[in-house]
Formats: sequence, C-alpha cells, structure tokens
Amino acid sequence: MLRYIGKRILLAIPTLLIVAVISFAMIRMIPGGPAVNYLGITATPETVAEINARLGLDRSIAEQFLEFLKGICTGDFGTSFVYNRPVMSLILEKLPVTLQLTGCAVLVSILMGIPLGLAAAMKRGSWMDQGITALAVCGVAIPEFWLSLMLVQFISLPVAWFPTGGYAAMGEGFLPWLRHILLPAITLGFIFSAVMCRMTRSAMIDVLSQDYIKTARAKGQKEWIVMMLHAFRNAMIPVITVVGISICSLIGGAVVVEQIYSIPGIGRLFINAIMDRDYPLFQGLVFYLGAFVVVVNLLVDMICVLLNPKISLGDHS
Amino acid sequence: MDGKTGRKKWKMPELNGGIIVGGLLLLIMILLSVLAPLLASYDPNMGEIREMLKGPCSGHILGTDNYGRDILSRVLYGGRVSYKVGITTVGMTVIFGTLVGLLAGYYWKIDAVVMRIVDGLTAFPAIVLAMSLMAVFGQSDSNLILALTIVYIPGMTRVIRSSVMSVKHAEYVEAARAIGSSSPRILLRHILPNIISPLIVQATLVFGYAVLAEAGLSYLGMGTQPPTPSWGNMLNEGRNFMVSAPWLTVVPGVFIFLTVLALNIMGDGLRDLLDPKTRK
Repeated sequence: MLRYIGKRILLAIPTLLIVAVISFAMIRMIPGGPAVNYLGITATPETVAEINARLGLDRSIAEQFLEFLKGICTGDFGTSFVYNRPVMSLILEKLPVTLQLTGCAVLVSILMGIPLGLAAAMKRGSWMDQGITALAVCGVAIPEFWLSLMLVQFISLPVAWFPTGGYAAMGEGFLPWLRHILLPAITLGFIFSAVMCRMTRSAMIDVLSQDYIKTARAKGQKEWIVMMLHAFRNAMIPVITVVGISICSLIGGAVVVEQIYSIPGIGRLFINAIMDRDYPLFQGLVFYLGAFVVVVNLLVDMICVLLNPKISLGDHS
Repeated sequence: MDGKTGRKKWKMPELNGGIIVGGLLLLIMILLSVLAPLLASYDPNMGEIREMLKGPCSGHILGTDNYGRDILSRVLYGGRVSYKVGITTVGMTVIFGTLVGLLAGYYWKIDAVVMRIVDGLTAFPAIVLAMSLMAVFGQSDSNLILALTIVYIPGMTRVIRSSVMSVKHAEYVEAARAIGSSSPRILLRHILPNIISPLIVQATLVFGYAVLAEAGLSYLGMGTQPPTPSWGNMLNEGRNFMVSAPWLTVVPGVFIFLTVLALNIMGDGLRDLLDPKTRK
C-alpha cells in the first residue's frame, strides 16, 4: 500500500510541474504583454519597463521560470498590484472562506445525495427510484449561477432571514455565519448532490448483485446489516472517487457562487484579479487553484486505497 | 452483407427513450433559435421606452426588459449565440481531441508527452481555465470558442486515447499491419471507425458543457458582450430587477436548463446504446 501511495505522489510531481508551466506561460501569452495591458493608455516606455521589472519580465525566460519555481517552493508569488500585499498572504487570508463554502457544499451534497441514491437503489424500478433519478438528471442540468439567482429571488428576498449576499465570519457568531453560508452552500451542493445521488445509486446496484451480498443474506443477516456493513461500505469507493473528481468542478463552481453572493473567498479574488488585470495575483491564483485540485485528487486516491487495499494490489499486478 | 459489393448494410440502431426524448427536446430548442427571425415579433436589440419592464402580456408573451426589449425575441436570438459557440466548440474539440488522442494512443512516445500536458490542463477547474484564457486572449466570440476548445480538448483526448489503446492490439489491426498498411491508414481506416461510439458520447457531453460555460462566462461579463443577446448576459442584466421583473432571470435560465437537460438525457441514451457494457 505504501509503495502505491509513494508512486502516486511521484506521479503528481510532473503534473504539478505542468500546472506551474501553464500558470507561468499564461500571463506571458497576453498580446502586447501584461505591462501594456495593465497600464492601458497611460503606458509610457518608462512605466512599462518598471512593471516588467516588477514582474521579472526583463530577464530571460529560463531565469524567469526558475525564479517562479523558487517562488512556488518558498510560497512567494510576488506582490499584488492592486492590494499592494504579498499574493500568498492574500490567498491564505481568503482560503478559509472558500474552504468553508466548499466544505458546507460537500456536506449538503452528502446529506442530500447519498440517502437519495441509497433509497433509489434499494427500491430499484419503483416510482421512488424513477422520481429520484429524474430529479438527479434535472439537478445535473441546472447551472449554479441560475440556481443561485433563483434562490435569492424566491428565498432570500421573501424570507428576510437569509441575506442576499455577503459573508459573516465564525467569530461573529454561529447563527450569522450560518445565515450567510447556507444558501451559497445549497447552491453549490445541490448540483453536486445530483452527481453523488446518481453515483451512489449505480454503485449500490452494482454491489447488491455481488455474490458476497447473497452469501450474507443466505446466512440470515439482518437486511440493514447487509446494506450498511457489506453493501454501503463497498459502494462508497466509486462514490469517493467521484467526489474527488468533482472537487475540480466544485472549486470552479465556488468561483461563480462567491461572485454572485459577494463572498470574499479565493474565487472572488480570482475574478477581481482578472478584472483589475492584477497579473501577479492572477498568476499565483492560477497556479494555486490547479495545484489545489492535484493535491485533493492525490488525497482522494489515498483514501480509496485505505478503504480498499485491493486497489494497490491491482496496481502491482 | 451485400452480395454484390461485399459491404455491410447499414442498419438503423434501436433508439432508446433517452435518445428520443433528449433528441426531440434538443431539436425543438435548436429550431426555436434557428427560426428566430420568423418566430420573434420584435428586433431583439430594439427597445421601446414605454414598454419597459412589462410583465408577460399578449403583446410580449415573456415580458420586456429595462430597455423595453422583447424577452421572447431576445431569448430566441440568444440561443443562436449559445448554439453557435456550443457547436463550433464541439467541432473543434472533436477534430483536435481526436487527432491528439489517436496519436497519443497509438504512439507511446507521443503519449508520454501529451498525457502530461493533458494531466496539467485537467488539473484546472474548467471555468477557471476558461476565464484565465479569456483574460489572456481578450473578449470576443472567436476567443471564447478558442478558450472553450482548449478547455475541452484534454477530456476528448483522454477518451479517444483510452479507446485507441483498447483496440490497437485487436486482431483486425494486427491483420492490417501484417498486410503492410501504413500507420496513418490503420489509424484512420481501422481504428477510428471502431472508436466512434465513445467519441459521439463525449461530443454530446462537451456540447452541454460548452453551452453552460458560455452562459456562465457571459453572466460574469467575460463572454458574449451586450447588446448581443446571450442567455448568460440576459441573466446578468436581469439580476438588477429581480424584485420588479422576475421574468428577466427566470426565462433565460429555463432555456439554458432545458438545453443542457436535453443534451444530458441524449448523452445518457447514447451511452446506453453505444456502450457494449450497458447494451443488452
């Protein structure tokens, strides 16, 4: 198992390197260069040279890339043009907000998606199964930006308890925090729960047809023990894998949801960096968001191996 | 087999409910946009100040916006942008993704390089990569299509590559190699026709993703720019009038939802029909 995990970590390194190359190349592909774009009509040769020096663009590409890699290792992505603060400190400041939002969204999706998926699988072919499946198919098709507008329009505006936007930190009290985070988390978690519901249903149906389930039933074990102890645990492996894959789209969704609900997280910071042409912040965030997904996928793989050691054995064979 | 030509007769596959329902819904949605000049009673960009923020009524079935423009006309014309971006993105993704996937799946030396780039690109959330590329390229319809194509090529490449790898040692490929067929001929004449099923399913999914991404980017102000109507920028404009004119945000969203729903249902149906594992 350790060998598998070690191999998986080694495989993540080239991916991280490619993420670094893409983030590095991104601002260097801007037509006219980032300095001219940032300064606009106020650009003079002097100011352009100053911005280029600040971004390190006056050096050779190889030097720039080595400097960028050094920055990644030391956590130094330069200083934001707009906030005039180190990019890393901005990321660390906004990260907890995004983690709270995505964490709550995952919780919402688990609470909604897994019970519905289980119910559909256990009552396969019934009207309940068909209803849940139809709901899940519709859920996947709803764009999060539209769902958030609908929730604001039909829940926040009529029910004053839910604010239409903004964020309250935990330090301001649990209730204000909950009031602010609930609708964005439901927005983000609803679509995710539809994916989770479909996956749980198909994984459970697959597992329930296995011989060991028939054996457990033949031994006279109670149905809930068969379901929870034998079926559910094994069905969770593909579900966790899907959670890992979906983390990527969850982070993407968080970018949009944070913007709509005016939540000061990483996503909003990223959109502001694009709008303000804050290139050091933009470059740092592009790398950070890519690297975050790579690390989460790595962790999900490890959880799957811990749940089912056969995965690592399969790798050796 | 046809006795005279020796060619296999083409047989109509048995369509399932998903393909029929999804296909019909998609056809209706596309026809509504294609026939927009015939169906729309008003110019989508022409406003009438006396008609502004009017609710659904006989003159304006879906109401008007804050400039007095007819929402039905705008939503029908808006679909043209979404479908144009969606279809062009799918076309380009299929061409480039298939080409790269075929090469990566067939030649292991190319595979090693290509798959690392694909891994790197898929590490980014699609909307983040699309926004980043739009920030780099600048805002225009062609740049939007280019950005979305770059975003969805890695997924297509992965699907094609794994399909190529699963058939490249099949007997019919070995036989073609044994009779001296060149590699391009083997790829195009023997492998490509046998991996067309996953390609079609993935293309359907990419269509849905592209429609969603176009709307999302336009909503955030990074896609189609006003006054050209697109479902995304209509939602963005309507959010300021959620209390006084809720139809401005409901109508374009319903059109996006129905389009993506149709594509998802059709994609599921196609997968059931074409995937040998799920086919009865």
